[in-house]
Amino acid sequence: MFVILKIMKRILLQQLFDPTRNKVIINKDVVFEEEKGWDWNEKQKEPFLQADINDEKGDCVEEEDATVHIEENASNNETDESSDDVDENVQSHSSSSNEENEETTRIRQPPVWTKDYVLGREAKEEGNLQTLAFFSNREDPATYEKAAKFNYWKEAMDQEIEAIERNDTWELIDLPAGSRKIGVKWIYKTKYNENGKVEKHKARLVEKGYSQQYGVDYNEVFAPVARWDTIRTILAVAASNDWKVYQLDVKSAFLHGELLEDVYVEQPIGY
Amino acid sequence: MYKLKKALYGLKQAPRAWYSKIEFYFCQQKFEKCPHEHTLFVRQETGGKILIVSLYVDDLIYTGNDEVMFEKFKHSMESKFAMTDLGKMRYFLGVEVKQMDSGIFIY
Repeated sequence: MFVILKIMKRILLQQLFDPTRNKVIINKDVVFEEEKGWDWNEKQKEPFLQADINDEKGDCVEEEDATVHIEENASNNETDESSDDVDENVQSHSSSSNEENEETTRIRQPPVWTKDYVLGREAKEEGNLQTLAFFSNREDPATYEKAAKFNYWKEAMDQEIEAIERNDTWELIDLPAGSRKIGVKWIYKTKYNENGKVEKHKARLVEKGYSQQYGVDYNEVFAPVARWDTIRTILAVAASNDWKVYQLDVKSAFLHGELLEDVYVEQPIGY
Repeated sequence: MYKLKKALYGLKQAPRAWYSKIEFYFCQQKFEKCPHEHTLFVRQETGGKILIVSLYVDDLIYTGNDEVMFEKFKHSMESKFAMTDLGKMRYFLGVEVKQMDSGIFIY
């Protein structure tokens, strides 16, 4: 038995709160028990702790008292069904939400790196931990300005620029008249080893490819990848011949690709 | 302002440019490309020696019946691109692979 928290309009999903497990789930198949209500006095321990978090959808109906609002939910549900653009969404979302529910039975363990942090009292419950992990800010800086304050990020950026230049990736020129340039952006990522200790700080210079225009600075983009059937066939052939299969990984593979189009990029700040 | 000669991450054609590069390399190295699976390359040498390579963007697996061909291929790749030798295939595309005397197992 659950308490309804919200109905996400258009996609007909109910967000449900299970006070016994202190967990929020999302499901499409809900039977309304209009006669019954939840006895909140039975186990009153911050039941709405999680309810506020998913509040980004302004049009969701926020429930405060289960018994009173169940009827309202039911009527909302009917009006929703009459709106037209729901069919497809219902299909895909309901299947994925079911999977999600099956998954909740899995034993979840906090990532190793969390040992180095104080997670707060509420995080001790695993249901809350998922939510916290999802919403907490990442440690890695999002902008050059933030990263430039740290020496290790500056070093990481130096290394990336050095690698790009060693690779003979670009040449400094003046922008030809009428050409467009693409913006660049730094992505910072702290890599941890299996013990949760910082292994390295990685800075990757990426281009804002979203501003590229077909026919101007790109043409063909399709690149085939191996089908899983092929991999399995190779494994089967190897197994039947008693062969061993080995694996290689190309470092920074994309940097090797040679461009056929004229692509101009801005200089990254600081370089 | 820079003019790019080679791709950078985030560029729309970066995956394509990389594929063209590695495809060209395989052809140069006398591999035959499978017409139905463009990421499968096979190189055959006299005496029934064979090397099979399958490519998944920057990850590749290879197998065959000749140790010398393995070593030659690995060294050639390493001299051309920066490589990480992962040894025996153990983990590929999210699937765990165990190679034992009794056979190959996937999880």
